[in-house]
Order: sequence, then structure tokens, then C-alpha cells
Amino acid sequence: MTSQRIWGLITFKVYAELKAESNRTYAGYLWWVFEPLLFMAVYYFVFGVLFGRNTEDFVPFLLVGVTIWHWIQSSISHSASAISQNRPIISQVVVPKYVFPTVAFINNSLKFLVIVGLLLFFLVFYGFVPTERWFGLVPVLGAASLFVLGSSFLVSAVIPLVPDLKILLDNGLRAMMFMSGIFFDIANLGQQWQDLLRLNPVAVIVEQARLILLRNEGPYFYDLAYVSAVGLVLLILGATLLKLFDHQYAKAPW
Amino acid sequence: MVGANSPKPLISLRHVGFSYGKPGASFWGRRAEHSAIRDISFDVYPGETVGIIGGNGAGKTTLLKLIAGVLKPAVGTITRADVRISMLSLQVGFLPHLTGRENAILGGLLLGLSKEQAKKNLALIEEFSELQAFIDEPFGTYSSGMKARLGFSVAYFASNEVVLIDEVLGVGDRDFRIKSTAAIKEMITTNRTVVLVSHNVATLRETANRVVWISEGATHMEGDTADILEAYAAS
Repeated sequence: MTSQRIWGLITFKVYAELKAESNRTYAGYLWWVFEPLLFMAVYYFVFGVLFGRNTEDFVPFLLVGVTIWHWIQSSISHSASAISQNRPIISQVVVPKYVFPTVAFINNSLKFLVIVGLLLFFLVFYGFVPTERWFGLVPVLGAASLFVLGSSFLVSAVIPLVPDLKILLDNGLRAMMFMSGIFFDIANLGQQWQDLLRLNPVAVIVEQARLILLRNEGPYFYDLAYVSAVGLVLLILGATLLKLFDHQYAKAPW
Repeated sequence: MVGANSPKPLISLRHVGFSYGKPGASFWGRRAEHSAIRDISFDVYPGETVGIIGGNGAGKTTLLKLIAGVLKPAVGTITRADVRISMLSLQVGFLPHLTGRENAILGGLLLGLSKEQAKKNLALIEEFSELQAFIDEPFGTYSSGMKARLGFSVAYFASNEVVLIDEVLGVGDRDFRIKSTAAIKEMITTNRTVVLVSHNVATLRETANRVVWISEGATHMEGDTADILEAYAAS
């Protein structure tokens, strides 16, 4: 298949899966807006109203972290099952396997873009003044995309062959969530812990996004370069494994 | 026949062996437990129709997947000329919530067509499948006969220079089975190259130029259709 054909396949599969998914519910595409609104409302109610942690803008702080984490986590876990879910296809036609995690990544990213829009809307509603610095979100999300796509490739390549790793992945993601400073500011930790946690690209991504949106600061080049570099390594590793194991996936009995 | 006169085969199998095992098996250095194909060798020449015959579990479907490139031989080699080879796969990747038309595009793309070609095929598919207004209804609402009509039409118009057919000649309800069988037979008799797997002696007698008899995962006999089928029937 030529790269143009593959891109045609990827985009149509993205469209097809999103449509199929929305047709399963009555509200359909409206869930793209309702669902994030719901979970934002829950966080707002629990932390803003119930715990009264409105001080130091805790709710906006939390929502930036939670939405970004939601995107990263759902892209990676969907990619873990991307190849096994398309087994009927893989067992009948020759198709490069990176198509499947790429489709999962694009699907989740499109939904995430809607959420980013809602998040920015919420921030303005909350009282933050949008500045041109907010465009700094573009390179941050660009670097983050490289990391998410790379992780998705790697996970999609390995998990169908060693399904046991799925259990480790679920727990690993949970651990990663707690180590990414979603619920707390890693800048409040001791210096050695900060240095350690900032090795985690997700922590860096979340921190950079918060700096831009909430502190009118950044993004910092070296942080983005670090995230991009890790992402690139994961991407190359994942793509290599997908190619290396290309014929193994059709053999898997599940 | 055709093959004997043509100097260069399109596809050439030499001592091909393959076995399904746990996917991680080779990973951990374990031996696979079940051997599907042990030792298969034959050539396919341009324009001919090669029939593959053998009992259940002889490894016929696995063999087609190996030729198509979906699976890779564990031992031996398969060499292919620079042609597009595909299995006549029905309803590949079809999603119940998409319309017939959308599934036709998706199916075409998966079978290797460009988006333009897949869209161009829509008119042909619409006409051949005779689904009429149903073509714009969700695939999940189709009867099994209608599903077969769409699946066949998509695969038929997406088929490549070399077509690998697994057992199915005609599908669907009675009328469509006659129509699709005729279409496939026409495809076989034109100079398309076909590898046809079947355990139906009559089908192969009618369509194949040559027959390869596979038994217990190995090439048992190979040669003229009449000779091999006679020997097969006698076994």
C-alpha cells in the first residue's frame, strides 16, 4: 500500500469508528461535549464546593491536569486493544499494523480537542484572561502528541503478543497518574522528588500547560524538547516492533 | 497447460512450513504445539487457475493466507512477482452502524484500493448487489442474504491481478448465488490468475487448469486436473 492509500484508510477508519461509536447512543456526538462537561462538573462540585478548595485556583489547576491525563490515558489504553480488536481484518488482509494505534490516537485526540475548547471556555468563565501566551499550548500539545503516539505504538505492538502485560499496563497507568502531579503541584515537593518526577513526560506536559494557562508563563523549550525526544524514541521503538512482529498478530489465537 | 508454457511463475512456494502457536511461544523459545503446514511446494503461473484440494484440516485456508502475505512461513520460501495479490475476503472490517455505502468504501480501502477507486466502485457495487435503497441503511439492519450481497460485491470489484478464493464461489440467497457464481467463473476463465481452494471435486473439474492435492500439511500430488481429481476421488 502506498502512503497515500494508508492515509486514506486511516482517515476513513477514524470517521467510521467515530460515527459507529456515536450511533450507539441517542445523543450521539453531543456526548463529546456532555461527557467532559459532566466530569468537569463533578470535579468542580467535589473540590470547589464540597471541599471548598477554591483557594489558589485549585479547580482550574485540577481540571487542566485531569483533562490532559484523560487524553493520554485513553489513547494508550485504546491502543493496547487496537490490534486485537481488528483481528478479523488482520487475519484477512495485509495492512501495516501501525494503522490501528494511529486511528485510536486520532480518535481520542479529536475528542480531546473538543475538551480543550471547553476547558479554555471554563477558564475564561472562571476569570482567567486569555493572552497570546495561550498559543503556547500548541507546541506543548504537539510535543505531547509525539509522546502519546509513541506510547500508543509501543503498547499496541507488545500487548497483543504478551497479553499478561495488559494487567501491568493498567496498574502502570494508575501509578503514572499519581506521579504526574494531576492532583497536586509537584513544585511543592522537595527538590530531589521534583527532579525525579519531572523525568515523567506526563508530569512535564501537565506542568507546562498549567504554567501557560494559569500563570501566564512558559512554555519552556528544554521541557518540550525533553518530551519530544522521549516521544520520538518511543515512536521509533514502537514502529520498529510493529514491523518486526507484523506477521505475529494474525497468528494470535485470540 | 498454461503453466508449462509460461517461463516465470507469479508465485512460487518452496518447502513452506507454518504452524499456529501461542503468539508469545517463539518469544519465550517454546515449541509450537500444532503444525498446520509442513512441506508445500508449487508454482502459480500468470493467467492460470490453480485448484487446491484436500480434506478438512489439511491447511488449505492457512495456505491461502501464506500466499496472500497475511501470514509468514516459519520455514521455506514464498516468492511473489510484483503483482497485487489478495484473498477474496467477504465483509472485511464491516461495521454494523455504518451504511452499506460507507462499509463499501471502508472494505475497498482495506482491500487495498485508493479512496478515489473505492468511491468509484460504489456505482458498480450498488448495481451488482441490487440492494437499492438499502445501500444507505445501516449494515446491521441487513438480512444475512443482503450482507452477503454487499460483502461479495465489495470484494469482487476490489479484486486484484491475483485472486485467492477460499471455497466460496457463490454466496447469498438463491438468485444472488447464481449471479455471483457466474461472476467468479467469468473471472476465472478470463486471464486473471486464480488460486482456488475447495474440497468440491466438481467445482475444480470445471474451473482449474491444474490441481495441487494437499494432505496432512504437505503437497501430496500435483498435476493435470483430471488426473489429480481422479486420484483424489479414489483415495
